[in-house]
Amino acid sequence: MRIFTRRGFLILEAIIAIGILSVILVTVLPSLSFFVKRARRSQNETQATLLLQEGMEVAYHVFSTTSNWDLYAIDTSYRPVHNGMWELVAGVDTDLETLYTRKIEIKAVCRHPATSAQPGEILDVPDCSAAHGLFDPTSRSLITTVSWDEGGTVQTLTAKLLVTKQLLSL
Amino acid sequence: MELLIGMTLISFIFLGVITATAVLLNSNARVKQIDHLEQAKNDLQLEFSNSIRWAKAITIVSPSELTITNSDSSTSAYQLDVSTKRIVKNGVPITSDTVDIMNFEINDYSRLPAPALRSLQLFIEMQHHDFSAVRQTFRLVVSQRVGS
Repeated sequence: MRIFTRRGFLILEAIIAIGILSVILVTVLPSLSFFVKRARRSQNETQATLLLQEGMEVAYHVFSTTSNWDLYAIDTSYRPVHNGMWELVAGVDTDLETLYTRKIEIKAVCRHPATSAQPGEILDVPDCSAAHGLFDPTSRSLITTVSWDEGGTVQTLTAKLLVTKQLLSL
Repeated sequence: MELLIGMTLISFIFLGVITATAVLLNSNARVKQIDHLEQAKNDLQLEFSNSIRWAKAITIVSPSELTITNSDSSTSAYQLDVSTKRIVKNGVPITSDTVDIMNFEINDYSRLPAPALRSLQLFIEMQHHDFSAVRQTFRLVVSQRVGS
């Protein structure tokens, strides 16, 4: 009878040990997964920031070295390309670094009609004419957007740059 | 028999704990190495973004050597020191000795000939000094600003 009790005790010890280990694994594994996901997200954001900066820098360079801005249609998406020199071509960059999508949108700038009180202040409104504004032919808003899929959720980074011919001396 | 099963289970548990500890320690070391590279990347991004954007004049001396005349008329010469594998500015290293710069390449994609505004693409490849498996490559585009 005592021998039987000792046998049971060994199995009980093993079951308790496995139980404790399982509880530890169940608790630790989701935390590890969380940290890995967070690290990956941080890396993706860093890379997306570089792509965003690249888009902004190319768009600025193209607009600061081109006097004929009519070459780039308003409300159209462009992507940067280089063949010895930077150029913007209509379209959207997809599968950048196998993950990212990037586009550079050219937007018209709506301004308040110049008066002594408000000399051409920018009007951030959906309908320029309804707000009694005027589109400024010497200004453009360059909006770069980088988006990527992260575990089924679309992440987006956007940056906006205002360029004016007066400041660029074009 | 029960003793044998017990010992086997305990051995498995012991091995599991040892492996988990080793993995955690190793990943901690790996994270530190990656952090070194991230820091170097951020430093270089900041350094080149500021100096190129606000440069008075930019001269590409060779595909891995760049000379910038700053807004205060001082000059900054950047190049890769192949013996120490560090990027130097006027002879002084600006990257850490824990990071080896394996490649530093400058491409000029400006639309107009000099002295018009420049737009440069820098390609930098780096790896950890002690662990070559930890490596990173990045591309940085910076355009010179009007009135700089």
